[in-house]
Amino acid sequence: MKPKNFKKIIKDLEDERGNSRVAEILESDGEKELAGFARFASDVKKHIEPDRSLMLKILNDIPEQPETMDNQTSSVPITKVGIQLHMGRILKFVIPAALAILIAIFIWQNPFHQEKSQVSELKDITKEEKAADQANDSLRTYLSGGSKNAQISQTFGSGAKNSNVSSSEAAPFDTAAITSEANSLNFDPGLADFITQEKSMSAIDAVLTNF
Amino acid sequence: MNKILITIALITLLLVPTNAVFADNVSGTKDQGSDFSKAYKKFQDEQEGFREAKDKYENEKQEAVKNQYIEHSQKVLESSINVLIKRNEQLRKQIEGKQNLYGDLGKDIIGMLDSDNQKLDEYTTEINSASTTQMLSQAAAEIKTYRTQQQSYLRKIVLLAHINQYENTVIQTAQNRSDKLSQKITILKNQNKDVSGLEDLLSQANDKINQARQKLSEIRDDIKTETIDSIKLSDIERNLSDAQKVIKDAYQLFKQIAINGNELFSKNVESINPIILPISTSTASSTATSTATSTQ
Repeated sequence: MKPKNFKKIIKDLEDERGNSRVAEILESDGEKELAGFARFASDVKKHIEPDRSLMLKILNDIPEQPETMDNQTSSVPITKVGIQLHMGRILKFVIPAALAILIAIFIWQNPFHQEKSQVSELKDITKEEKAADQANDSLRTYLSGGSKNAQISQTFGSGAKNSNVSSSEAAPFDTAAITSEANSLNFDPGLADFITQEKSMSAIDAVLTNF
Repeated sequence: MNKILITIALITLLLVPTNAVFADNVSGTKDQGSDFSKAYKKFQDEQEGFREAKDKYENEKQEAVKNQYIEHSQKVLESSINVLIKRNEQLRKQIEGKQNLYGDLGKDIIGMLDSDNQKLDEYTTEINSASTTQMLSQAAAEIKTYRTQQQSYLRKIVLLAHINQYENTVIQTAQNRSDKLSQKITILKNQNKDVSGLEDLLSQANDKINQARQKLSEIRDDIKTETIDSIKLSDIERNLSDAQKVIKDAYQLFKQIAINGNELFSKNVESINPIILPISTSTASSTATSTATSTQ
């Protein structure tokens, strides 16, 4: 069938209602297969109510695929219609199920957890580096406090057996701790409040005395 | 932008600690919103009215003026008592919030303040029922006597609590710091370093700590033996401030010791570095890493 014939049929169907009437028109134009499909669609309507626009859409699609129409006259529209007919079920069951699966995969894989563990790993590395730096400083201090190369080789060879000074004792003076303590040398502020309050009582004493 | 800057400036102002421990203002102006401040303001107003009424009565000696004088006398005495009650309540709150400072003394002071407020309530009733100037004068004299005894004891106990706390915290911390610095100096000395300068500074700092201790001891004796009136209170305040300054001086010396001591430490490391650095940098790092790993 030529596309222009379909356009004519579509035009004839513009004001018609119901698939049974569509089937009749199609049959009168010699489109028995399509008429049969229209009746099939009419039966399906009882369940999912495909309306007239669905049929019109299918007919509109046919002229755009003439080759397909020749070889697969009914399979393509039926597949499409099938999807559209089952859209309700798809929306009701398939999409929620897919979402549930995605959420399950997300929880199972948990990229945030991976990120967290990576951050934790980085923290551990930083911690280790810091500890290494401290140990390095301590060792340097120890070496600087020891006596020359004999002690150095002894340290690297068999550990600090004869060390008189531990690394923590040999650490530099803690200026930060001193500064911190220096910031807390005042009397409790309550004392100043008390004294100033008591001083103000002299006015009351004066009134009582000179009454 | 301006709002942000203003907010930051305000927050900074709020956070900056004031070095002045003993404020010059009276608490009435410092703590404008408190019940004590309101009571004190009312007392000042009543005091003014009382003076005027008293002057008028002494000049005119008339019955009508006398009634006004009695009325103002009652008001000024009542407001005086109210100030004392509010002072007690405020002090009670402070003590309750600082159990570590007052310890067992706190309960005694609170008990005393509660009892004091009951007594002051009784005086209020007596004043309100007084109908002559003689009765009011007598009530004023009673309040004065009671207050002299009570205030001296209360002042002593609060001041001593603060001094004890200062000795047990600040002075003790300073002493501990001095001991630690001494240990560090000994380490440097064992390395044949010239630590005479550090020892001299530490000796000066220790002298400062002893001075502060001595000062506090004198103040404590003073508080125990003397009556704490307003003049004595000012003396004590000044002496406490001096003791605090002496400890601050000691900490200046501590800082100097730390700076000079660290210079000695760094010189020590630098003098060895040319020999050991090519070996020690990598070896030390690996040793240190393994140490750190083993301690994890």
